[in-house]
Amino acid sequence: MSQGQPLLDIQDIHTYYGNIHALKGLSLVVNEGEIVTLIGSNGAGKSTMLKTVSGVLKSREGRISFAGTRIDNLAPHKIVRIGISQVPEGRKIFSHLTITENLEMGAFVRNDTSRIRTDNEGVFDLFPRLKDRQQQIAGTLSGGEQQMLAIARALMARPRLLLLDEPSMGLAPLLVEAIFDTIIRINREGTTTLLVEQNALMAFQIATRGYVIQTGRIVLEDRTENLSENEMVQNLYLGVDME
Amino acid sequence: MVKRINIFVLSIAFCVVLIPFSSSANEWGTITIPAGKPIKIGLGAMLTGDYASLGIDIKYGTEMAVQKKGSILGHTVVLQAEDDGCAGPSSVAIAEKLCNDPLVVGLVGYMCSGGSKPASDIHNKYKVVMISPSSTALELTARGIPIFFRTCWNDKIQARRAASFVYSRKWTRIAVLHDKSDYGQSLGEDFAEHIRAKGGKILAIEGITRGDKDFTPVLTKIKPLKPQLIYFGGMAAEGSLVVRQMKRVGLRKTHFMSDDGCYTEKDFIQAGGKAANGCYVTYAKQPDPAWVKKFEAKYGPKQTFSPQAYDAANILMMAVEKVAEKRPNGSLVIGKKALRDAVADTKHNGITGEIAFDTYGDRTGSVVVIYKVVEEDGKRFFKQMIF
Amino acid sequence: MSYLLNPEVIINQIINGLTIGGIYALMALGYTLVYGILFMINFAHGEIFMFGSFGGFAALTYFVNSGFADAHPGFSIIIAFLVAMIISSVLGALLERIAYRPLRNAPRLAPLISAIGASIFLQNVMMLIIKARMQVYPDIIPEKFIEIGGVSISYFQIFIILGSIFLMVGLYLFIQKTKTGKAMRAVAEDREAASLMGIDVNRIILTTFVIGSALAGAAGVMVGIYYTQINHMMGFIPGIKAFTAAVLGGIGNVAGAMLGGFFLGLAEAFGVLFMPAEYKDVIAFGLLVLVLIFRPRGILGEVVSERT
Repeated sequence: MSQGQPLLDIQDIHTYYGNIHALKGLSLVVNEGEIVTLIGSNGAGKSTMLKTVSGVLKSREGRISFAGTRIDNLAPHKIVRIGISQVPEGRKIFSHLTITENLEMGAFVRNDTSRIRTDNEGVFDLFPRLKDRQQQIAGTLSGGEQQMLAIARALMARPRLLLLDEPSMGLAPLLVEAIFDTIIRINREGTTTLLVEQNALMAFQIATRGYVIQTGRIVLEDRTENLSENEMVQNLYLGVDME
Repeated sequence: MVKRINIFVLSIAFCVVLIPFSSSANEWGTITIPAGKPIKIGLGAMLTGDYASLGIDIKYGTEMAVQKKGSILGHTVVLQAEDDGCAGPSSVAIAEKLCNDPLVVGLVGYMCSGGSKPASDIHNKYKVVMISPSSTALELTARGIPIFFRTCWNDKIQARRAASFVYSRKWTRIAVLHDKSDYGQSLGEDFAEHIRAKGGKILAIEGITRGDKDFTPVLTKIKPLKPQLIYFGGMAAEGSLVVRQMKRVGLRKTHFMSDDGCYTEKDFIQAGGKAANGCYVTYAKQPDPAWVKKFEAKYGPKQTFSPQAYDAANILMMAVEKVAEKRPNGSLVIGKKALRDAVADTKHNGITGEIAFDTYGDRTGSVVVIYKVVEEDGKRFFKQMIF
Repeated sequence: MSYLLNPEVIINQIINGLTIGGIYALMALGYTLVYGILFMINFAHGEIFMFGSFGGFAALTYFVNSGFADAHPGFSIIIAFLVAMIISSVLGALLERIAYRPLRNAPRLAPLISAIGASIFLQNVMMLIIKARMQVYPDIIPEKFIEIGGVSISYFQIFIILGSIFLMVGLYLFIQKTKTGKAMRAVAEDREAASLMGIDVNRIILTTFVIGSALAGAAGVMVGIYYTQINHMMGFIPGIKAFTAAVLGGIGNVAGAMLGGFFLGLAEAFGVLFMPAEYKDVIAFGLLVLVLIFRPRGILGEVVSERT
């Protein structure tokens, strides 16, 4: 564990989806340089938490700080500007735009043209398959390629914190492995990462610490090697009859 | 089945019982203006919208007459002007409203034939006399409505006059456009009949939509037929666009002729620009110049029917004066039938000439004159043609 | 009917159709841009067009009265266009802020009703301003014509066709090439994902209204110069026809709106040849019905969002 300062600090947030009380006093910390994973089953509130961090949903109570400043009352586009990028659930790439245009949208908040170009090369290094199809319409890509594009797009904002919402979903195991290798690489290059997953087995392999969420509350928090040993985690998230 | 027959029989019986009464003179009822209350003269004309210059002109003419008169037998006369939108539904609504107003003795209007036609049925129901200054459509006086009169002419005359003029110019290849209104269409079709009767050739009769601005497609369609004249039955808003767009599609040698709806300085000559030069329109002979001077000093340039409206209002007020009976309590009682008969018996030397009505409510001895838009000394105006 | 196949008539009708079609297309773009991004029909778009036309009218009238138009007719017209586009843009932006944004998350019927309300309100405002009288654009430049054989083409027609194409190409390049344009497409496709890219969605929506309204303002001046008569109701029928054009081309589809506009203009011009001219409006709305029945997504297809 590379112990840095807390980068993202979520304290006791309550978020509602309409009238549904989705997050009931959730707290979570991500330190500078870490890969932290949040695991939980469908509907536990994982995506809700990421949307609250990104400002798409607003918490009614509690506070969220990023690098020491409060962000829970900021609009989503301002949160991106201060350094948080999200790879949303279901990828949400712009399927009518070309790959190049998708990446440009990823870099929307930046004006440093020359460094954007360098970063563009950088993400093509990470995902060479995208480089060959720069002018292709994104909607025509395969599921794995779309996931790559979604990650590449989020990286184009040069985030300090990358939020990943189930990057393994719907992908073949080989592809999942490739994606996770890339996440490690991105982290080594200095991007703090919060990884939300149902696939706890894979997530624990790359994350240093983990949280377990159930019906809007954190029920467990520990180093990932300890979580793997935990009986409840094994039964619920690592068992053969998972899902 | 039995029930239905019963209703049928009953309704017939009802009619049989009612008919003699409703046709009897006494049954038309009376209008009572209580002491201290004004006498209201109604007015129905388009006061907002594309033909509003025409309607406002009518309003000014009526207003001038009413203000000049001031009062009748101690009751002030006031004008109640309503915006009829030059259309049936709003005219009917106004008719219902004014006919049920106990102080309204009669109405000047409605402006458009399409409004006068349905509204006259309502007026006939309540037996409230109406005198239109501008509804010229043929059928208005052909429907046996006893309370309808007009100080303008019947389009029968206008169409015949226009056709004679066209014939005298030896223009025989004619296309007709009309705006599908009760006024424009019947006028256009009547004109076409006259042309055919004189041996001319009607190349096309096409309808256009009021409020539309683009007539190039239909004019392009007409163009290869090589008409010598396009006759337009309709209003100035569309007419001025037709003359502009005739030039646009290349109908530059074709003459244009239209009706009183286009006899307006503002909406035809000005709105038509240079394209309006050389166009022919039909209208009455010019009213008393002294009156025009007085009118224009007060309201600005006269457009079309203000003189006819002025005369209509005067005829109505004179009839009221003639038949109204002053009661000891200061109220005024006006027999509706007597009022209608007084209007029908009018012999008035108005500013538009001698006015009398025939048995149908049409003005006798109407004269329709041909005008041409000319430019002389930098001024553009309607010049009366010697014909 | 043989004269209908007369080449001169055909060419003239193409010119007539393209002229009015260019105006429909410019207006249709406003409908399609807003629909593409908000999935709502901005029924007040016709009134934005109407206000633009009156803005240009006010400017030109001022120039004529001050004598400026005599000395610089072309410059006067350019300024009239700018004035119209600015007035329409401001109006479009105000509408978005006041009438639509508060209802952004309301059921779809709510902004539609708000739009109809705004449309009636704006008509009445203008009715009070002009006292409900028809106004006539001043003739600043005398209309000239080109005549080739029996074909007559007005310079005004050429001006409108080229002008509308110029604006459309400009819009197309803007949407395809600029960062804001791409952001507009991104927002149209997925508002939430766009906000996660750091795009200020509200600003982009406002920009979309401004651009669509500016095009409508330009169309308003073109109509004023070409047809000369304007009134407070002038936005109604062209508005519905432009909406028809947008649906014809596939609502939400920018290229489709342009195509739909020209297609509708040509259909009206040529339809008149085969049926009485009084059915001109029937052509437009008949086409709308046919498209909705047989090809509800329009000629080029609606841009359907992945969003549910």
